[in-house]
Amino acid sequence: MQSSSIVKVWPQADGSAWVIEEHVDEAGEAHRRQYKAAAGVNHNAVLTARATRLDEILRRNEMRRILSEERPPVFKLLNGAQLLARLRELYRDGKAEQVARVATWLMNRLDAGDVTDLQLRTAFGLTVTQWNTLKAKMQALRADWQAVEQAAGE
Amino acid sequence: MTTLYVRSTDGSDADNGTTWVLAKASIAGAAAIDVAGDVIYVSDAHAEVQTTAQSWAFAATRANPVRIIGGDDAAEPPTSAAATWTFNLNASAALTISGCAYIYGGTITLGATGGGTGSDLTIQPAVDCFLNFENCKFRMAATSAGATLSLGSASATQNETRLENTTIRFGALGQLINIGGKVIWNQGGIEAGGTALDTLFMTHGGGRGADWQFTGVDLSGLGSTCDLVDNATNTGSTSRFVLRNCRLPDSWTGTVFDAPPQGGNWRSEIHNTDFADTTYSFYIEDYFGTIVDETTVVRTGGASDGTTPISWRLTTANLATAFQYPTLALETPELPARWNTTLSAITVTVEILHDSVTALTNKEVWLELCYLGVAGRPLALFKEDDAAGDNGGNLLAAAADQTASSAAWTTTGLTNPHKQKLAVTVTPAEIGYLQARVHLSKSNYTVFVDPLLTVS
Repeated sequence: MQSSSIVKVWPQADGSAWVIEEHVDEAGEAHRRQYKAAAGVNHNAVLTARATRLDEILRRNEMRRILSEERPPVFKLLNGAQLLARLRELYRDGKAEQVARVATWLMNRLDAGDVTDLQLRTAFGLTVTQWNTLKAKMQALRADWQAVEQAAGE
Repeated sequence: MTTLYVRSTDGSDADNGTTWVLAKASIAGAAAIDVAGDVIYVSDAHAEVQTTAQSWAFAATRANPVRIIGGDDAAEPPTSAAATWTFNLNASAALTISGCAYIYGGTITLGATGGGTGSDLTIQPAVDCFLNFENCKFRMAATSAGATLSLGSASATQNETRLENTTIRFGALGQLINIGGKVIWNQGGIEAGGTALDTLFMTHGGGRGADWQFTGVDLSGLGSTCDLVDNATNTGSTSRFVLRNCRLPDSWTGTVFDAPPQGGNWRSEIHNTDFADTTYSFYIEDYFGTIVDETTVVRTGGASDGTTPISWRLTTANLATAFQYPTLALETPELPARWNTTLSAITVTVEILHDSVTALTNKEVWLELCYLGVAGRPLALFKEDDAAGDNGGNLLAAAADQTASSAAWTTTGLTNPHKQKLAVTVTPAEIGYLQARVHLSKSNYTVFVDPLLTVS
């Protein structure tokens, strides 16, 4: 985060308070969050903790946005290496269609020249042989996924 | 319709399941032979343990569901229900429950031993079907963040999952509930003893959407910083999240959405849900801003729960290009409705307060009134005090200040308290409810609304 601040505290009759925070991300976009704080809650401590968490959430969401777009990635908060690292985790821990979506997106980007074999192999921490095996698996997954997406009736 | 019996202690899936003596040993064994309308009694002593993936695919329809009921096996069929049967899947493997069924009284545990990222509990109603659970416990015991509890199908249309007095426990940070379709959760909550989460819900992908309605759910077992909804997981999903009369974790500092909503398809409405002993707690958030309860800046003689005066504070997001009259605005829910019996001209007024020397105009804030204006039919008409006036008005007319007001407000914390009122005059043709909403279409702005409708 570039900055995080408490922009307003609205004290309530029961001793609680509505607290409005503003977090400005590395791309300069402001994100406001509001919560009701019980009496005695340290607003600054909550602000600091949320800044860390929100930063991670925004980067996670950027990865999801990029993954949902069939085009070269448009970055705001992530760089290429960070994106690949996150996609590698998503693929490793993923299940079912999520794995197929990640594989499809990576293979499409590889075919389009947006990413190289070496970059992917490095991100996945594999030898050439291991990467070739995984790549073949991803290509097969993409073919299966595309077959499902393009399926039509009679 | 057949009655089937399941008892792990002496049953066998090779038996036909038609008596306690010939009981199936597993629920999957009964699900494999059931037909629509069957009743499957599960012994109160049933303690099933599996180590491979399991599927309970109940062969039923909405019109003729299967019932799976825990019961005292002293009688055949049981004469008293029992919520003591257990099912344990001790592996990194999933239990998938599908079809159309009512399930009573089970404790379903995934991954207590040998659990892993595959220890999923997938509750997946069929198309146009439901899965109802009552007095059940779902325990996600695997210590892997990848183990997922899914409620509702990501792909089936018109599917509904209902939890009645059912609890959920988690085994690892990062686990959450993946929701699709319509999900209703009445009573129950987060079971104590599990791992505190950082996010509770996310939606399935696929654009099927989700409609979540939780009432009487005790969420105090969550972490005090847990956010309720992962708002951007699947951007194609249209979702509405309603939480009513629920308990939040003590000193909760989380938020409903873990990040600001990124599209107009998300809206949360939280009513009377708090960590404190209040009766008026209120929180709404969507792309356009937030609306919360306010107990300090209130109108004298305005809305109250009988003890505590209340107003609503509307705070719009910083979206200068989005708030373009008359297209987009932050909309309140309906203000508490008034029953009207007057069939002559009436004026409905709502008092507002904001902090500026400059008045708000009828292109920035307005009242929308829904009333019965057609004689002989229950057909509502809408009228607004915005620039256009009502349907057929001139929305390109110049903005005009909303009317100044002399109402008394407590204005603690405001530098330039500015009192105005929104008013619409109509002639109802039928008796019935007057339903009103306030619209605020001004970026990065705060307005207090007294939700008490005044009719004169």
